[in-house]
Amino acid sequence: MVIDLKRCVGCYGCQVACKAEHVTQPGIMWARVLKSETGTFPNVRRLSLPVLCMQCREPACLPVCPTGATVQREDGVVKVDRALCIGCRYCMQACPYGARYFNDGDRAYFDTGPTPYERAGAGAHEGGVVEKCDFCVERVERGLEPACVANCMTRARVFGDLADPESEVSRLVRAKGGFQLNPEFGTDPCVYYLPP
Amino acid sequence: MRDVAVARSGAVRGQATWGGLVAAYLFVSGTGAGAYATGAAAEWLGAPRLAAVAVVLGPLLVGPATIFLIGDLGRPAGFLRAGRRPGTSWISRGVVILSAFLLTSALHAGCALLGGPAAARLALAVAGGVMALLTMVYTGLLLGAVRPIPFWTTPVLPVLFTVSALSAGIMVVDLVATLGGLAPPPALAALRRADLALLALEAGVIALYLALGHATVAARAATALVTRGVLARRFWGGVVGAGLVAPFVVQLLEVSGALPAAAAWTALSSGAGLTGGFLLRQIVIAGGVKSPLNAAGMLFTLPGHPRAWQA
Repeated sequence: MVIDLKRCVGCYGCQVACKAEHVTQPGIMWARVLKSETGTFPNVRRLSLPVLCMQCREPACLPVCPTGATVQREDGVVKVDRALCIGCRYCMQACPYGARYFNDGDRAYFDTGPTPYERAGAGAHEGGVVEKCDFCVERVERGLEPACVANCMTRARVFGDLADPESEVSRLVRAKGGFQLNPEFGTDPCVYYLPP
Repeated sequence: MRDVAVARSGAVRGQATWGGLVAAYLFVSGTGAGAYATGAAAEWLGAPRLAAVAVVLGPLLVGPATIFLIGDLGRPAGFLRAGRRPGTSWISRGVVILSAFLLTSALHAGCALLGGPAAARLALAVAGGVMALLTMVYTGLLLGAVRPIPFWTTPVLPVLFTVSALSAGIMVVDLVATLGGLAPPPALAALRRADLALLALEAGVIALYLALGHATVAARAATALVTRGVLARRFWGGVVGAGLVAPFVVQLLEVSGALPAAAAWTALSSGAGLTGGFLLRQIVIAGGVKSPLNAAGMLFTLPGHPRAWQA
């Protein structure tokens, strides 16, 4: 995936689209927009940084998992097998991008209990285990783009095959100086950012 | 450089994923392994009564300590699955190490209590001693595998945990042996002299641990959090005052004969020392500040991490 920080306006559309698609619990946001400010008036700069699971080529979460619940698919997507996960949260510590979330049980957004939408989506989640973004594999397998990509109003996000040098993502990384976040941790993420 | 200023202020908090239960496990298992190691040494140094106390305390502490870990899991019923990846995961390696330690130490304890042959006790002391050392060290290596937390990835941490565990082990053995009248006074005096050396060493290691914590902005934030921030009182009062200075002074006075031999002094020094030992583990866990994300030269707090970098 490539995320163009020049185009991102920090609308949180991706964050909301992901939540709507996956019906994650309150507090769990597989896709998120972080914001930071720097400088002193009048020379101030603000930057919006959309983050998600980087689906790293050398994931830090994989070797630390004691049960083998975290696996890396052929296509590079890193998945958690909920049947194996024991909720030790070592992977959450190891992830340099804070992309993993612990599901601590049934919580609903409203005091009156879960809405029909939340009830419908609850089946895909399980309490006591760790969950995270999976690049919307179910959508991708149906020929769709991940929810965050499809909903980005400025088309700041592009999804494709980084292993194919002629794909749009590969060409963008080459042409516009795409960079990875915090490469010093050696995880070789599959999400590249274009400079703001 | 506002980010360095924020780091230095001690206001940035550490990770919130692992908390008191993990700290409790680290403390009780380390103390138990340290107690057992003391017993293993005592076997070889010809102090069998002291050795028996220490060797029994080992599995008695480490066994129940694992309940803290199991209780911390999101799905405790699945804990048996935790040993499946010793090739890559320190949690799995820990399962193997703890199992081996509990087995050898329990055998040794049984042998000591039932009056088994000295040769068996000496052999078990070697095997158990190795496993006790691994039990003390591996937790530092487990934390060291968490690359984004520089407060944990230093090689000083496993050394600190081992030295601190040995000292805490000695203190709990001293406490039980003194209160129960289970070992001769010369053996206890030797124990206290050994602890004086360990406490001095531990102070040096802690100083080194903090002195080295300045290479990255997250490392500086963690060091400031512990020495100047919210964890400072626990550190200076608890870890340094109660955990190092109090037991050192009391034991020095006991060993030099300035204090009359009384169980109350041991209760004081061991009680203070053990409290400090627990607080040290808690501070290491709570002080684990995660590196912020860096994009275009700007820092961003990680999702789920307390206290923003962008103050």
